[in-house]
Amino acid sequence: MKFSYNSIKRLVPEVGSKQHVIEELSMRAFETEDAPGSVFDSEIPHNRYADSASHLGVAREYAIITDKKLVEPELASVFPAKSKGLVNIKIDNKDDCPRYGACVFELGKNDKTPSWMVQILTDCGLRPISPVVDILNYVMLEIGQPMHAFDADKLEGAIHVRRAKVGEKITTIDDQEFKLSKDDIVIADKVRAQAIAGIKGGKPAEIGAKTRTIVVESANFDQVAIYKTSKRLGLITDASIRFGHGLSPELVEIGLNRAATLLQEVAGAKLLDCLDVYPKKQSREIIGFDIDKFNSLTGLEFSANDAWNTLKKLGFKKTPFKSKSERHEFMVEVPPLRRDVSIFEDLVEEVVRLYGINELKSRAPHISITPAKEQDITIFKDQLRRILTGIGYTEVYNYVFAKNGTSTAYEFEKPLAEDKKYLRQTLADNLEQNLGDNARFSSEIRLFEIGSVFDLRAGERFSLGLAIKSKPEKSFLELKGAVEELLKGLGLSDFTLVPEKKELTIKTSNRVLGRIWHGKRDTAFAELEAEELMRQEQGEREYRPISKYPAVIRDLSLALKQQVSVGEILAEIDLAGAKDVVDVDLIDYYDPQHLTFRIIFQSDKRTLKDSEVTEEFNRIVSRLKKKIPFEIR
Amino acid sequence: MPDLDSIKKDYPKELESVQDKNQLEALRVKYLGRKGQLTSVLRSLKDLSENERKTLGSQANKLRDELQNKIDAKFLELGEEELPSIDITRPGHRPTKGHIHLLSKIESDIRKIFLSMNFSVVEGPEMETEFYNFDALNLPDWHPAREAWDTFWLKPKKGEEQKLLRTHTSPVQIRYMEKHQPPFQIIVPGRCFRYEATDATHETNFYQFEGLMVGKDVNLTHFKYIIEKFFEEFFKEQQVEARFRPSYFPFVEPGVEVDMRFKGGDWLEMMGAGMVHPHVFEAAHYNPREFQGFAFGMGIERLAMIKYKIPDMRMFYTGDLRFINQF
Repeated sequence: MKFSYNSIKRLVPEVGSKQHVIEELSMRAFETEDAPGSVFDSEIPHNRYADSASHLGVAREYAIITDKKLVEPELASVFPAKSKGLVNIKIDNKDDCPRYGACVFELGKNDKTPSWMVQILTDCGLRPISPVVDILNYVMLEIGQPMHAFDADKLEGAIHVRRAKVGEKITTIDDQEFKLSKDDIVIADKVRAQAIAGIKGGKPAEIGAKTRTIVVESANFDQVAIYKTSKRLGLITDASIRFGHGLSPELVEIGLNRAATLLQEVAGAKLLDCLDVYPKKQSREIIGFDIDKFNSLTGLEFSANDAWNTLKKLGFKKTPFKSKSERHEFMVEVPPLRRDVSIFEDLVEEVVRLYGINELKSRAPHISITPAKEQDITIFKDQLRRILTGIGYTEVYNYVFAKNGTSTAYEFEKPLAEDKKYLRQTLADNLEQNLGDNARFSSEIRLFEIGSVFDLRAGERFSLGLAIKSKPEKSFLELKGAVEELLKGLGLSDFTLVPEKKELTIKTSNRVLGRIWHGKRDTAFAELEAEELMRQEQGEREYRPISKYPAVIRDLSLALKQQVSVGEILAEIDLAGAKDVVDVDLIDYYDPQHLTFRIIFQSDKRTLKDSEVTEEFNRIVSRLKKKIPFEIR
Repeated sequence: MPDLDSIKKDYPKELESVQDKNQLEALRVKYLGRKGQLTSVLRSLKDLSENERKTLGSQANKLRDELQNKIDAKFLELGEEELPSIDITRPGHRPTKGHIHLLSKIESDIRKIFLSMNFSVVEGPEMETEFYNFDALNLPDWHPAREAWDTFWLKPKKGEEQKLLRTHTSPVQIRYMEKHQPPFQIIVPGRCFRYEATDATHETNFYQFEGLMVGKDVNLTHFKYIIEKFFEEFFKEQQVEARFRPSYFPFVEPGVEVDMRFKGGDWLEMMGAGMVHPHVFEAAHYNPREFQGFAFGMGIERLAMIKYKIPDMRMFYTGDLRFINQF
């Protein structure tokens, strides 16, 4: 929120430089930044609009922090003991409108806003319009109470604060038409809604050049109702922002008093009558102060009196009221504008922020140590990264949005864009995009991502995606090798890669762990269920003795009479049941029909005799001959 | 069968003419192999009389040692020459190496620092309920403060509560406290989401880590210590200074904002923090009169951008290897 340093100067004559104001407010009240000209920008906390979203509020904070004198603005006292009856107010529901004050003024001849006021208005980004509007805007900026003026001659009968009728229409002063609902509060007269309460005035009773008499409204409305109406109508105004954050009904009177002073002094208006309807009095907030708890939370060593001295400066009052349930040194009554303060911890904040959070010492906590742990999934993700980077794969992070989704995809209520309608169900789509994007810079690309995927049925889970772009004949097998290496690295030994159509499904005895498939042209992809992998992962492996006896190698070169997949041949070799076979590998793939397998025999009990190995080798050859027609090359 | 004298006479010449290791091996086999000349002589000893065996045996063994030594010497000599002749100043061949993403590296650095201070690491779901993301954190739906957390809402699944993508890692505070009793200290790294326009410092997807320490007497001075130590460790090579000032977040009271700067630099906003609000403890079924603690949240990209001078937050999510491979 923008504030004018010129205005602060009027309220705190001994004020330091603008930089000083910024510094003090930032370190002891709320974040404040410099802005061009005589302006600074304070981020008023959401719960402090009642007391601080005004020049008076900011000046008060600054004065308290720096122990400087605050000069309160001159205030008339408008509410008479008895109204003359020039204005009548009817409030349907006191929760909607805890307080409504109104004054009737006869306007004078003055048609010029004084330059000091114009300066402050423009500093805060408001355009000067007419003396009456400018004064009411100025009061909002100075006091924090939004105000509104109606042309008194255009109002019929009493001011009526009520809910809008379903479908009731209103045209606001900026010529927008809104259709209202019964959740919206309006300020109406006998005939129609004349304003959307707390948000914007209506066209019919707008003041203009010919206006002679005005009704000035200063009221308080239900925070939630204003917030919701403003959001629903998409109508956000200075007033709606303030009311939406919650103001104090006490501001109603201060605002009106200030407006009356300025309207009379500056605009030459004459006050005719006022009425204050205050059906829902703001309750007094009383809180006990427990100095031990204060010191325990802040690490300070304050006495009760130290704390009280700070609270006193902020306008808190001691009360004799005693609470039996809580221990405390004293009880305080919260200043009515400090609607943010409702529990003891709020008082703690007040005292410690004025002391300066930055002034606190830093102390190492004394704790009884228990082992600090990482969760299995965290450790597992690290392990995946270690293995995969070790075999040449690079990690990417992608967005969770997806252009396409199946019938079980989660869909966004309001997608960011047409191509971001779904939550991703797979990592592969983004990885494919990554391969394409990087293709201009490198010919061989190996990527992986560990990330959440989402599905209405399976919920949210971690997935592991791999992608490769290499030579067309290499990509798939290289990726397959990488997946196998990964699974072995995780200690998984009893998995199988089952061919189904053009892809391989990675299976253990009872689970599908993922799949490997060919992408377009020279790409291949794999996607694995990371959490399932984690569950299947074997623990540490035990040492297996290294055989003391030599290995015997036999190569088997086949010229197949018809094409048979390598997987089938390997399966047959396995099924031959030859003894002491420790490894079978495809060492030469001349073409699909000319293959060389290397079979390694080794025993951990003795040196195998040549004749024994030949016998076992022949067992394999004869099994193959029965099943697969071939010639030995 | 060749005799010792002819072996003695012949081998030096042959050894002299040896050019490479293959020839040397052939020579070794000729004399010392299983069927080598000298081996045969030694093997034939068993057929001789004891006297002959003694004389010839010692001569033959001496010759064998002599020959073996010479062959070994020659082997070493040849070894030198046999190195491939390459220009060793040529660029080395690059091994195929993968890289972890910078965000993973930073997250891992953060975890290490906090583990060293006895904080455990906890994770939680990215898809959340309104209760954990907002209500339990003292952010009711009518609260304007919620507007600071622009939210991706998902279309509800039939018969299920509407879900959202978490806007911060704070829901894990509640999830953790529901299952654990103090004292404890944890950090929670994870992905968060904001429904907003992206620019160099704003992203729809971003990483954050949350800290939460709860006990009987955990206070603000402890918070300052932990955070100062964290900055010191994280920005090891540089001198950093932290600044603590009041702020407002509905889930803490008092609320704190922490800035940081390098020696002589400008203040940089780093994190929101504070003492856990009693309403948050109540939402997690703790008695706020019994326990107290601090919580904080910090952006991981922001730490990375400051440490590695990265100008644009969006670079983390491009999958551009020219970026990723730098780290």
